[in-house]
Amino acid sequence: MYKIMIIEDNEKIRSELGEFLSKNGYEVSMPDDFGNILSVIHKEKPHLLLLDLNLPVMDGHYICREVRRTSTVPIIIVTSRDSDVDELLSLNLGADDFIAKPYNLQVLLAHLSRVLKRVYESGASHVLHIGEITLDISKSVLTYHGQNVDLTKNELRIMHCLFQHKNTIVSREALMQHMWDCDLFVDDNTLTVNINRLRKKLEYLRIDDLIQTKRGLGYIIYEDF
Amino acid sequence: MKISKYIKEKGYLLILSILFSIVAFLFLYATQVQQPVIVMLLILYWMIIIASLIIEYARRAPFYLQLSETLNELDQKYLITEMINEPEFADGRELFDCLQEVNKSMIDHVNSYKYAQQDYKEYIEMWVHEIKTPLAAAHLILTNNPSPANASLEEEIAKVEEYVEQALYYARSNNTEKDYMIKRLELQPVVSKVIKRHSKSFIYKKIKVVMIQLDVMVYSDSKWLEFILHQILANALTYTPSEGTITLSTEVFPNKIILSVQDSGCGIRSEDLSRVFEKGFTGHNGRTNQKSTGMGLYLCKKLCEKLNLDITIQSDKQGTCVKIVFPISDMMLLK
Repeated sequence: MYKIMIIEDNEKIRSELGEFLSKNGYEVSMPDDFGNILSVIHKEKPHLLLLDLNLPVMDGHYICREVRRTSTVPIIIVTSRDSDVDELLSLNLGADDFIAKPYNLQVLLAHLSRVLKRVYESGASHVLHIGEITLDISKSVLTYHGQNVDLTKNELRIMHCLFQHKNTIVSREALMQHMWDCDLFVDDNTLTVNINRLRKKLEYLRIDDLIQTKRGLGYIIYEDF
Repeated sequence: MKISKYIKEKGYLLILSILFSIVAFLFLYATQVQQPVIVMLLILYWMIIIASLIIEYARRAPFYLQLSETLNELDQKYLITEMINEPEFADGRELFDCLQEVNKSMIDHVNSYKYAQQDYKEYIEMWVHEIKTPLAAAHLILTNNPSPANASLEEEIAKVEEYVEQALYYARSNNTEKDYMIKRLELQPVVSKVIKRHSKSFIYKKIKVVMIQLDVMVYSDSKWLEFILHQILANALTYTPSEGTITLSTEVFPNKIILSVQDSGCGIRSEDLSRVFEKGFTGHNGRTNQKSTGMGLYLCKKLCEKLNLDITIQSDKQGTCVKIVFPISDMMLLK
């Protein structure tokens, strides 16, 4: 489990963000001793820093620079100061990413996992499993009993979303939202067409009824189809 | 200063001189001074009068001529004191000092307003950044504590965020200072970002988005452009019925790129169309919709003017099309 340190002076945001991240499978550390923040970082050795810019005692940019002297821990700057200057300065001081408040939490999660993956899992391909079916995200390939089918961008995103939410119903709207978040601006009809194509490809792999339709609700994949 | 005006101004001196000449002549004639002496004296007298008039005119004329000519040529008339030289004669110097004084006091006066406005803008910017923290906290609390009311609360918070952003850009649009940076940027990522921000409306209203040829480079400020597109798309989404279509496309010309946002909405009445960029104008659609503040397009127009972009709007029963014209020129970067 990755340990994430939230350096943020607003107590409410700190605790709520901490709760949100721990719900999403991260270990969270929330120091509130801003005077000794550098030694706290040094002692706790988090996998990633979420750093606010407006902080008491030491400015976020200063912390960023000081941390960079001794460590390569990934740093994501999260701030309400969203000017170009702040962004440039942050990135120049060695921050890995910059997100402006008020951020979309899903976007924050996506940035987090992308940075973590880049730093700690470089080279490893990203693979999801359901039973004997494997979905290779980086190659966009679905494998079952040694047989492969290539998926298009849209189909990959649909499968990815369904795999992530296995055993729960995913509404058509949620599927579309997931695709839109990935820059695929599909409409209702396209989604239907893509689902049908996907089912054909699954038939080709001799997997029947993996994607089940719940009328009026959406789609679902059961782990033990 | 024209000669005729000058002579008119000095008329009293001429009249006095003529009277004096007559009185002097009569007096000298009565005291039996010889005629040639009288003529000589009068000639001398008139020479002095005329010479002093000419010298006086020669000293004043260039100054006043320069003054009126520069004043005519100047766009900003108040800069006149910077443009003229200090005259050599006493009454001219008086006038010059006066003008300087007036100018200085006016500059101070204008500056006090400028500083007040700058102050206010800085306060708004700070306020906007401060308000983002509680808003972000509210978002987090809602996400962590699921309840049936969440979705609609989220929607309300999103609206608050939108109004906050509008206030920020309103403050920026009124500022004389430039706080944007025109850079060469790709249009597609900006458009994608804006569409993503509106994704909920698109998906729930089942509105189709079509993008044609958006991989072009334009010169603009990405944040400002995002705000402008956000407003335009918000309008398009509001007035397009569900299952409609919104098309974003570009046309490339040698010296400009035109980005069109075409919706399949109810259109704008022709009598309203010319006034949609006015501040606070809501028109027929706005009045029926109730949500319209008449600020969105006004701000778009104002920000576009600052960014040197042209924005136009066309509308008929089949929908409305907003066009943003980006000039293509490396000159844009130097401005």
